[in-house]
Parts: sequence; structure tokens; C-alpha cells
Amino acid sequence: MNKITYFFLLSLSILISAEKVYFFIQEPKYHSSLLGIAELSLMVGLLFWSLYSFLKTPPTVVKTSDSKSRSKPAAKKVIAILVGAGLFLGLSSFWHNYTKIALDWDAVALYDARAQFLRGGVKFSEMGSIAKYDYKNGYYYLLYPPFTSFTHYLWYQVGIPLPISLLYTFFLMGMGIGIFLLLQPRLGTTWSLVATLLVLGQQSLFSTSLVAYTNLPYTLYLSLGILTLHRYLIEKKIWWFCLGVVLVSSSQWIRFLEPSWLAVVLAFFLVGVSKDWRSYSFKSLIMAFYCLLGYVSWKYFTDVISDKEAIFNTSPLYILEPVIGIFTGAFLQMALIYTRMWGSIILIYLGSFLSLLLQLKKPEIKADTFLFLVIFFSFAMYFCGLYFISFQFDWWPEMAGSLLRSSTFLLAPAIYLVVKAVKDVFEQ
Amino acid sequence: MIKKIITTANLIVKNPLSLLIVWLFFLSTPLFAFLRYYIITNHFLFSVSQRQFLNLFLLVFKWFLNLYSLSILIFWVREFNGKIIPRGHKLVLIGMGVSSFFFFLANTLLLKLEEIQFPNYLYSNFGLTTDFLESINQISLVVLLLIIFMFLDGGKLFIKFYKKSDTVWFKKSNAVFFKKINLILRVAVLGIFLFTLARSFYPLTSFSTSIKNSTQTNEQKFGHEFKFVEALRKLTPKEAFVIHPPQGIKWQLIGNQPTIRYFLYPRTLVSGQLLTGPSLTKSFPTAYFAEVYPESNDSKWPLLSTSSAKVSFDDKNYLEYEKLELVGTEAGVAVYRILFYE
Repeated sequence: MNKITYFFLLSLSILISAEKVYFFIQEPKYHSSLLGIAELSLMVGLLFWSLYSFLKTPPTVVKTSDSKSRSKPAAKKVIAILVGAGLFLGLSSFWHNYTKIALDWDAVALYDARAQFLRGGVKFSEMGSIAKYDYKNGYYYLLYPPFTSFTHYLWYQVGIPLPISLLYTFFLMGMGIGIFLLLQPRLGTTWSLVATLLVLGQQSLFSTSLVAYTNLPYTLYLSLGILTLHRYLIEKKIWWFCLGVVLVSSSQWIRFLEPSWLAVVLAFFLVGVSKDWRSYSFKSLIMAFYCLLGYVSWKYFTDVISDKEAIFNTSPLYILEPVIGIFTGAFLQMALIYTRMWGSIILIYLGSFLSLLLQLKKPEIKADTFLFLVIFFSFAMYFCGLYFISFQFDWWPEMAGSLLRSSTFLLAPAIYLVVKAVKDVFEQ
Repeated sequence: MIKKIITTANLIVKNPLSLLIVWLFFLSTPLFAFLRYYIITNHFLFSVSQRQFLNLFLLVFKWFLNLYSLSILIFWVREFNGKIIPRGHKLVLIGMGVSSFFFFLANTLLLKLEEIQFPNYLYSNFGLTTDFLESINQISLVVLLLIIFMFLDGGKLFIKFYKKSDTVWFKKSNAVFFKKINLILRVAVLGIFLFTLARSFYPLTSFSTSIKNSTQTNEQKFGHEFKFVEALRKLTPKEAFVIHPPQGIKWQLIGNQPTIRYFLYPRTLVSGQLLTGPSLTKSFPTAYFAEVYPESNDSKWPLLSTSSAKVSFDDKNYLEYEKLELVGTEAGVAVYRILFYE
């Protein structure tokens, strides 16, 4: 199982890394920049380090907690029902995407459109010039990093005779397989299947498999990256660390607007330092440096090479207003609206906190705290981001849908914590 | 005095009728929502504050009933641990389970009605919003799952659940207070687990919506303005310059350059907003455009004055042109070729 999990995650990392290398070769201005070279070198280095350490170390058999229930026929029935429910989810997404006639708005305007331009021989750095007679959307084609468009482009170039929307069903299946494989050693087969189904069945996540947007691949890479790092914190195997870092940092190449990696880096640093200062401070530094490099290199590409326009105003006056707002009550008002924006899904995140409290005496508590801290810092990040945006745009409360879609990567860690606590209650 | 109140409250809560009555009230919340709508639409209440009070009352009423019934259920779990559940209570639980199922079914059918008819159909006819129905549906599912769990394991599950509640957290502490907190935490986590489970039924309940969405054509998805895009795609050459209306509420699709580029690429698109003077037209002496809403006074685009050979693409400034010719019409949309002075 360990080997399958490793090679599954490695192939996901290689997919995005290969696309990055292709992008690097395609863009002459990018491959002559120090940032681009440094990022790619570090990415290749991390992947090789991971593969080398994995192949060098003889694999150990991981004991799963469901060894007792394996012999029970009732457990087999439950597993069969859960697998059936999982297949239903996959098939319903497949059917929807297979019969789909028209792509949705953002896919048409951006993700699939860029794939068509790539097929027409237009490079990414040239896409701004396509919109030279547009007074409003000069920055638009570089607003999102290229992963989804590149994957669409590959799909078309390879000549896969299926609709492009099916790619998102495969992402959903990948998400299910990844969550199951990563959680199985922690929860056992039955409970990890339950957790996987609970994650995939959530409206905010499942619905992203029915639209060709960036949300699902972003969730796939970031969620699995977080769970891989969680596994590293428990098993202390270096290959999980390297893969986790590549997956988390690569998510920036799918969506760039939310610096979610910052929450992961911060949580890893805090938990790592409390575990073992010496070994974790170095690894936290590598992680922070690589993620920052991923952030800066894409920002450099969009800002300097392609003259991207700024979306948000960052002048001191615009920053001063929100700071004053803390004392005038705007902060509190915003906090109330923010809580309401999450809707009832906030209960799942609250549940992850309560579950953590129930697990305080367990040996894996530090690794689980890492998951909770990622959730906590992400909530704080979204709040701060929205708080500042609320002073510049009137439409910020309308971002609730976008907030729910882009935060789906938190569902897997949160549901894992809840399921773990419930499993504990049921099995004692 | 306080002791007497607690004893009376205990007796009330233990009585199977107490849960039954609260649950029946909860099941009738859609009727109360309808009543609220009826009162408002028939102008029985005139002031805004009265209406606001009614809205707030309904909201509080729904959540109070929901929390109250769940609390009683959890109290019963605690009360009957290790004991045989009395017949009266059992009957109420079965009744609740069955009614939850049918309540869920009825609400889902109502939600389907909204899909089949039109958005806001439920509110305009019954005073019910989809958010309201979805939230009470989730509650009824949680109650149903809780009851199923109670019966499936013959109550053993909850006996274990209660007895083991003091083993992990504050292991060394004997304080009753912490044991109680631990139990509350476990009940809350189990409740949230059931809630998450209920939420994960979404793909099952939304299957027909998904299929409906997947069978939508471009015209259905992007609206009636898609016909302008189709006309331009069919009647203009691929290397053409195409002028389109400025981006805004008036021309939501045809003014949105990134979206229409998907269908018109590799044609070069020019926003009419930029055509304020003759300087820009020098780079493309010939261009194409589709006549948008020619019958409308507000949304008509472009503003044409054929007698003086002038045209306005930005709704403000007029440009002189040399020649204007009709290329053709497609589904009632006229597409023109325009030649500017060099």
C-alpha cells in the first residue's frame, strides 16, 4: 500500500512538474531568469531526493488499524457498500461530464480559451497582446497560472477522444484515491472509505468536478500535499516530506490568488519546532524557501515580463483605512458577515477543533495539530484578505461562493479529524 | 424552588409526548413560512418592523425547535443508556424516523418543482425559499440518521459511547466536571459527523440538476446574446477585426471580450469603448460588427447615422466611415462590414 501511495503521489507531482518544464522551455524570457532556473532546479532536486530515499530504504509494512475487522464478513459488506457509494459518485460525475454540451463561463473565458490559444501557437507571455484592443481585461489571461490550460492543451494534443470536461471527473477520482491511500494507515479501510466519501460528497467539492475550473485540481494538489506532510510528521520518512512540499508549492501553479501555502508553512514550522527544533527548522526553511520561490517566480513572470495590471490597490492609504476600521466597528461587522458567508459548512471546521480536543492524549496529536493549524491559519488568511478587500470593493459579500469553492482543500483535513474522533468513540 | 423546577423539567423532558409535540411543530415550519408569506402578501402587516419581527420569529422558531428536539434526543440517549427503551419512547422514535423520511422526500420534491418551473417559483407560490427547505432537510436527515443508529445497534453503541466518555480526555482527572465536558465534546463531534454525513448526500439529491445543467447548450448557458456571437462566427472571416459593444450590464455577453473570444478566435476583437476617435481605426481600416438590439432604445448598438455616414461604438463619440455594407443575416442578426477612412 505504501508503494502504491508513493507512486500515485509521485505521478501527480511529475505531471505538474513536467508541465512546468514545458512552460520553462516555451518561454525564453522565463528560462533566462534566475528565479525560473532556481525554482525548477529545486523542484527537480526535491523529486530526486524523494525518489532516491524511497528506493534506498527497504519498505516497511505499515500496520493498519483494521486488521481485526478484516476477517469479519460484516466488515466486508460495509466496505462493499462504501465502495459502491464511491463508484456512484464517480459515475454520476462521469455521466454529467460525458454528456455535457457546453462548458461553463470561466472555462470558456479563460481556462479552455488559453488552451485554444496555445494550440494556435500563442505563448503565455504573448496572451496579453491578444487583448490589446480591450480596455478592461488586459491582465485577464495571466490572472490564473497555466496548469489547467496546459492540461487541456495536452488533452487536445494527445487527441483523447473524450470531452475535456471528463478531466475533472478524473481529478475527482484522483482526489478520492489519494485521500483513501493517505488515510488508510491512520483510519483503516472502512473508516478511510467513510472519510473519503464524506469529503467527495460535500456540495462545495463535488460541484467543482462538474465545472472545468481551477478549484478541483487546486484542492487535489493542496489537500494531498497537506495530508502527505501530515504523514511525514508521523512516519518521519523524508520522501513524504519532499513530495508534500512539491505538491503544496505546485498548487500555486494552479491558483495564485490565495497564498494558502503560507498557512501550511506556518503550521508545519510551529508543529515541527515544538517536536524537534534542530531537524524541523531546516526542513521548514526548505519548505518556506521553495514555496516562496514558486510564488515570486510566477509573480515575476506576470508583473515584469507581461506587464500585468494590479487588481488590488496596495498604496498606504488603502491599507490605513482597514487598520482604522478595527477601532470603528467595521472589523466586528465584517467578522459577523464572514461567519455567515461560510454557512453551515463551518460546523465541520468547528468539529475538527472539537475532535482535536478529544485526541489530546493520543500519540499522533502533534501531526493532527498541524492539520488543525492549517485550517485555523487558512480561516485567518481568508478573513484578513476579505477584510482588506471589503474597503476597496462593494461586491465583496458576493465572494461567498468563491470562498467556499476555493477553500475545499480544508475539507479533507477537517473531515479526517472528525472521522478519527468518531472512530475512536465507536471502537473503544 | 430551583430543585422543583429542575424536577418538573426532567419529568417533562422524559415524557415521550414532549419530543413528539416539538417534532410535530418542527415538521410544520414550512406551513408557518407559508403563513408568513400569506400575511405579508395580503397586507395584514404594513410596517417594515412588523415584517422584520415576523422574519426573525420564524428563523428563531425553526432553530429553537431543531435544537430543542435534538437536545431531547440526546437526553434520551443518556437517560436510557443500559436500559430498555420504554414502548412509548420507542413509538415516538419510530414515528420521528418515518416522518423525517417523508418530510425529506416532500421537501426534495418541492425543490425539484423549483428546478422544473422557474427560479423563485417556490417563494412566489408558497413563501418558501430553497435555502429554508435545504436547511430543514439537513436537520431531518440528521434526526433520521441518529434514530437509525440508535436502533441499528440496539442502543449498545450509545451505552459504550457514554461509558467510555471519561477515558481519553483528562485521563487522570477524576473531576466530574471534566467528564461531563468530555461527554459533551463527544456528543457534539458525533452530531457534526452525522451532519457531515447528511450533507454528503448532495450528489444523490442533485442528480437531476446536474443532468439538466449538462444538457444546456451554449445559447441556454450564455443567454440570448449568444446569437450575436454565432452570427459573427458564421459571417466573418477568421482574420477579421470584429468590433463589439463596451463591457457592462447592457451587453453582458457580447460586451465581454474574453468570453466571446473563445468562440470567435482567431479573429481580432476590438472593444467599442476604445473607438473614441479616428486614430485607432488606422490600424484596421476594415472591420465587422453585429447589430445588437436594433429595436431597443436603451441597448441598441452601435448608434448609426447612415445619412451623415457616422457611427458611434462607445455610445458617445461619432466616427466617420467611408463605406458600410451588409454582409448577411443569421437568425435575424445583421452583420456589417465597415470601411474607415485611412
